[in-house]
Amino acid sequence: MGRAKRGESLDRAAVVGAVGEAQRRLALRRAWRWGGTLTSALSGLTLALVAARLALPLRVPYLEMAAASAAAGLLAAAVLAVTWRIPPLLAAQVVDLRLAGRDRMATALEAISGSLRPGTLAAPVIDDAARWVSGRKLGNGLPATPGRGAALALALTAAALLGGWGLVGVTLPGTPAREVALTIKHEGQRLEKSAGILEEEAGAARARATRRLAPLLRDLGRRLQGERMDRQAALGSIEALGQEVEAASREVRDRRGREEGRAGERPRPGLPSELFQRRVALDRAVRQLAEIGERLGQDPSPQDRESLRRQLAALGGVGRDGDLPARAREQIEEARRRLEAGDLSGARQAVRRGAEDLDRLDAMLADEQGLDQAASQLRRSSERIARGGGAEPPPGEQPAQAEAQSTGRAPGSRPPLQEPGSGEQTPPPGPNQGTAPGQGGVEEKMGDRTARLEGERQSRQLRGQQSEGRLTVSELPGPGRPGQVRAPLGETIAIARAEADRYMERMRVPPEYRDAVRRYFEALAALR
Amino acid sequence: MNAEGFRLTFEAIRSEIRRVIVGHEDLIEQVMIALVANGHVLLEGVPGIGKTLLVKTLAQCLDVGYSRIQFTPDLMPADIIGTNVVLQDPGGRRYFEFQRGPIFSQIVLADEINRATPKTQSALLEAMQERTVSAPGGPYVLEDPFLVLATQNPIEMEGTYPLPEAQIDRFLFKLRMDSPGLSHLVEIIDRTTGPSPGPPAVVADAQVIRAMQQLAREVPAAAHVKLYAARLVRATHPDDGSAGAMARRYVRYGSSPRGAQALLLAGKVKALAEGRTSVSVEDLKALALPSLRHRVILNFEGEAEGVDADDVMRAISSEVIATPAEQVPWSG
Repeated sequence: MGRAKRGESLDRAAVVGAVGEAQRRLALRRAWRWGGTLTSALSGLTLALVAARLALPLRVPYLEMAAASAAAGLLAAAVLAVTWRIPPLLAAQVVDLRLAGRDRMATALEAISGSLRPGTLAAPVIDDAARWVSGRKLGNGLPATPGRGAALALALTAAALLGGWGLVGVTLPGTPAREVALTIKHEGQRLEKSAGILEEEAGAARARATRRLAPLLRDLGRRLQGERMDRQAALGSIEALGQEVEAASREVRDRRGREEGRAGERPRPGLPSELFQRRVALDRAVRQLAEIGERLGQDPSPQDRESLRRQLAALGGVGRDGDLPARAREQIEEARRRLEAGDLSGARQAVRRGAEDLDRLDAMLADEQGLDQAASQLRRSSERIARGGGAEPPPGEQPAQAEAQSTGRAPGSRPPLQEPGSGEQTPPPGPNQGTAPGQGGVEEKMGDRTARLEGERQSRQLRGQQSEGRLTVSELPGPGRPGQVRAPLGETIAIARAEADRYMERMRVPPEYRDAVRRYFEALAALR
Repeated sequence: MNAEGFRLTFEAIRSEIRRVIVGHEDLIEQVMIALVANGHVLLEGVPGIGKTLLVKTLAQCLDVGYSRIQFTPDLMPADIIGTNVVLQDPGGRRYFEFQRGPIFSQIVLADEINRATPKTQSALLEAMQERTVSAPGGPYVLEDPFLVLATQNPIEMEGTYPLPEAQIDRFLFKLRMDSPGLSHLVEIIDRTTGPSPGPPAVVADAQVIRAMQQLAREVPAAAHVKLYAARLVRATHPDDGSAGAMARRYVRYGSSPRGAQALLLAGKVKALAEGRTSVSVEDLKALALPSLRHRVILNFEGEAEGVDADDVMRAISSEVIATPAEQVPWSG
């Protein structure tokens, strides 16, 4: 009797143990499945974005997304495997189903839990289930390993990685992505060309930093043309070189600050026009100094010496405005003193040292100018690529269009006073503005600005049969452009007065207004 | 009797029947299941394929009473249940005595039951259901085991009285006996044209069968197995939410609760016969057709389109969820 009870207890333990193992396996399996589903969904999204990149200029961090998908799936699987509990009866039913148990385990578990009506076959049912399950490996029917869902997740993640890597720079014709790709190539060509020009100029002007960076700019241009590069990578490369250029520019400005005797104070970045003006001034000063030095070597007469002294004084005076560095001014002052003292040789040497100082400063300004140009080119490329390509709008046109889009008004419907720049200060002069022939100011060349038409735009829609679309035309009724009066004033006033009389007779015009009009034309006639 | 004894006895009976009957493995098993489940069988098949021989062999194996009633249109209820006859005692005094009819047997073959009038049919069917016979001096209780095997010819329907649905419902199984295949036919003619193999051996008696019947009812069924039987029966009702498309289209009336009872009880017997002590969903699936095919009443559209109740039942069986484990997608 005792042995029978012990056997029954062992049978129960075997059944309960097997069900417990099945619970664990099922929880793990379900966790794998959910983790796989999560990874599949995220990887599928990544893959979709990678595919969308064929048509749209999107930035898809596919590496990060794929890694995040896999990590999220693994994390979800781990958390779920630990937290989920499968009901024991369900686990027993799954064991029966997967291992063809003919419902032995579920029935035995119900018998153990007491939910079955007690009968003579309750003990044999448990015994039968225990014997059956002891001869089977649960792993055969209930593998705890990742299933098809995880395999699918893995495949999708791999596809996202492969697609993300293999489709970089691949675009479909006629799509915005292709437009960006073409823009990147175009900008690459432009940067390469700019690099060549910069290299030439830097060589001529002894601009060391520019000469060092120009090849990098050319390489970037070639890379933009040659490699399959998406917008983000292109912008990243441009940004990296832009930072390098900026650092070099800062270094050159520091050196210039030291050269100009402003230790610890970095000169502010100047406008291109300012740099150009300074270089022109320096060039002029260098030429003047060279001429003075030459004349000093020719044993000048007292009158010539006085003239040279005045010139040196004038140059030193120009330098006080800040165009010339302090050291150069000192050298010029020294030359003037020596000339006054009759030391022509010393004066000549001082002039030569001053010219060398100015020449060195000119090289630095050229370097700075070249670096500014490189930075400007990079900025422009970056803006165009970021904008997504398309033709570059002519200067001044873009703001008007942008405002028209934002306000809903067409260009031309704005009063002249609101034209851009009308209420602003005059823009700084351009690099080629000067007083020499052929270098006149823009205002001088163009004359006075023409006033905009003071007309309101009127739109009309015309319906036609040739096209299904609608045709919109605009008409701007308004006064003509102001110009020289060519008709004799007296005749014009007489014609206008006659016209006014005729209109007043035909139309219903109140008497008081009629008198006013008449008085107006009479006053005009009196001016005759 | 224990489960192992059950299995051995069941197997012994089956072996003896196999010595005589060629093929029809499922049919033999289902007839035996009906016997142990204390039910009755409606056997459908063309003449000459061994229906009578099967029943007779079964009776010989069990050493129980066997009778055969050939149903004809002029058969009267008294011809089945018996009648009062006038007898005379030695004193010359006359008295009535009930002479038991062929129903008072333990295995009864009601051959071509649909040829008798409904009145006669109902006399038999009352005995089947109540296991008593109402007669003068009665009622008389029929001795267990009591198994009626009614046959009907599915092709010759002229001049027949089809069994009403209420009466068909009283059969545990409706079995279809098909013509033997080629190999079986060769074996049949070989056996029947050679020396007689002799009668089958008696391997059990009525007492053993009664013990088997009692043990079968002890077999436990898990909750989801019982639920499956109930779901399957509910799914045969066209107005039930769980009914499938085929049931909704072709079925007029679904199975009665007797169908679920028959299914589960027969499943228990099958489980024991296979050496298991618990009934499984697979047992019920295997017995769904014989248990329910005669309880599903087709509508006009089904009849007109020649839809078979078996097809309807197969469709229903495939749609009903057998176990909650089937709905666990993460198990695979």
